[in-house]
Amino acid sequence: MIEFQTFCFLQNHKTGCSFIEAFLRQQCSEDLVRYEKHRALRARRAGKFHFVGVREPLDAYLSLFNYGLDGRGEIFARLHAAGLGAEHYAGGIDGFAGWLDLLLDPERGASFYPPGCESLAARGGLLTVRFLRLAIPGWEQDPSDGWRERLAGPNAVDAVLRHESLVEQMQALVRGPLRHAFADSSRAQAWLAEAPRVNASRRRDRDAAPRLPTELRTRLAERERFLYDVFYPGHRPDAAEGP
Amino acid sequence: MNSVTSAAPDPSALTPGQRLYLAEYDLLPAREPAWRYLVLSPQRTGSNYLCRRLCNVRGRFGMPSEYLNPAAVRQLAPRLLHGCRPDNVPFATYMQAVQRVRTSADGCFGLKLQPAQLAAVAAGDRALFDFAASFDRIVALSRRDKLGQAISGTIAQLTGTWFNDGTPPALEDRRLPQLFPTIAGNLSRYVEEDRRIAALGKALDRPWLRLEHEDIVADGQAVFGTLVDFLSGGVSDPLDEAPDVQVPERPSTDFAERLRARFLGYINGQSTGIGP
Repeated sequence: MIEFQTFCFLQNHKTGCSFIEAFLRQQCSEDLVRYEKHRALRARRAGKFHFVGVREPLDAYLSLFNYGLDGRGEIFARLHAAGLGAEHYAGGIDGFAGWLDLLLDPERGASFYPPGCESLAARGGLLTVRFLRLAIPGWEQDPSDGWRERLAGPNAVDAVLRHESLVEQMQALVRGPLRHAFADSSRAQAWLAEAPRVNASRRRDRDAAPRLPTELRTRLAERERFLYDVFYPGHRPDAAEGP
Repeated sequence: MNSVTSAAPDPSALTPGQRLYLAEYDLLPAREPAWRYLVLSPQRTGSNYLCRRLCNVRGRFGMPSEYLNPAAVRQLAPRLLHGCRPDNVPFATYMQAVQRVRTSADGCFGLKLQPAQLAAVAAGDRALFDFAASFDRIVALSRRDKLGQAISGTIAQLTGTWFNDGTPPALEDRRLPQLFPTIAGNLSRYVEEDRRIAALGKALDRPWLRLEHEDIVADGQAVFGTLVDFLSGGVSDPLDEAPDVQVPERPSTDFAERLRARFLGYINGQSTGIGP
């Protein structure tokens, strides 16, 4: 969470949140009110504009895994602490399928969920839970059904930035609901247009995409069904070719 | 650190703030901190209220106080650093010694700091950044009503009373115009300190919480809850609070409001009531 005087950005792992954070820190005219990266809100901040990021799940998992190959990230740290780092990362990008199999398993993967959300592993994939706890403040305390309706309701965020169109959507916010927060909007737009890389992982899968068994693709689509249905209906990995 | 020159003061003459530096408030056994937080507080922003309530939480949040205040150094350095001359206190050694006796059982050490106190040791924005970056969490206090802050600071300077016990200041109205230059100076100082702290917040990659005096006055309990939530990282364990240290009262505002009206009249060109 990075909160300014009139808006609040909920930071979702590997969805471009460090990029947006760097942009806000450098370009926003408002004072920083609160900053706790990746923290969820219990309730909306009254009167403020809220937004969050999302990313196509398979691409997000690949980014997370590559981040671990860089020796970074929470999942890498936990695996390393559990003595499982070498098992998953020593083989480079070829270790992705085994790593994903672990994270998609509701029992074995539960320990990688956000603190307090372990029991929610049975209800959704890691990325779905990470997203919903940020996008619907207080969701952890009431993870009952109707997620899509709640996401569209008044107690959820006002905007969702897709990683695939992050810059364009952020530019639209600066032109629109957040225009008051940027004294020099031209400079802010120019910063976004340059789009410097911030906290990005090195993508080994670009050269040689890891092979994923059909069963794993199906399980990924099921575990992250909410994100695929709401944001990426044409990208289900069980219906698409490679990686 | 060479801003302290006199011997240890008479305990009976200590202010509520100075009493916090007595040995009876040490947190024993001495221990090294596991994590540290910094409360950046320009004068008259409500930090006494919040920090003293934190001091009253048993076993958690340390004993946050102004350990870089010259009065604190004057009291603590000779006591904690045996053989140390109060006019030549080694900064790092002093801070280590203070931390060891002011860290609570949860491994937490808290420091309240006015930017000017650090400037006496290391001046400039870079020094403030580096110092703040050595802490795990930062709390920044502010006051939207800068003139109110300047007036409050001026009254405190004049009366020597920085800790509100509810007693109105004893100043004659005819003396008010004499305070105007000090109010103007304080206004400039507080605006600049606020700017520096706001810039620090954006530059520093640390958990950050900004609290405002007006919100403390409106609902001190709610703001204290926000502060505890922030320092606890969202883990909501019940607090064991006890009245170990005195918490300031809500200040009387009559005098401050009269002073504000006279000051605003003065800068709007009305007569001060003194002089030609």
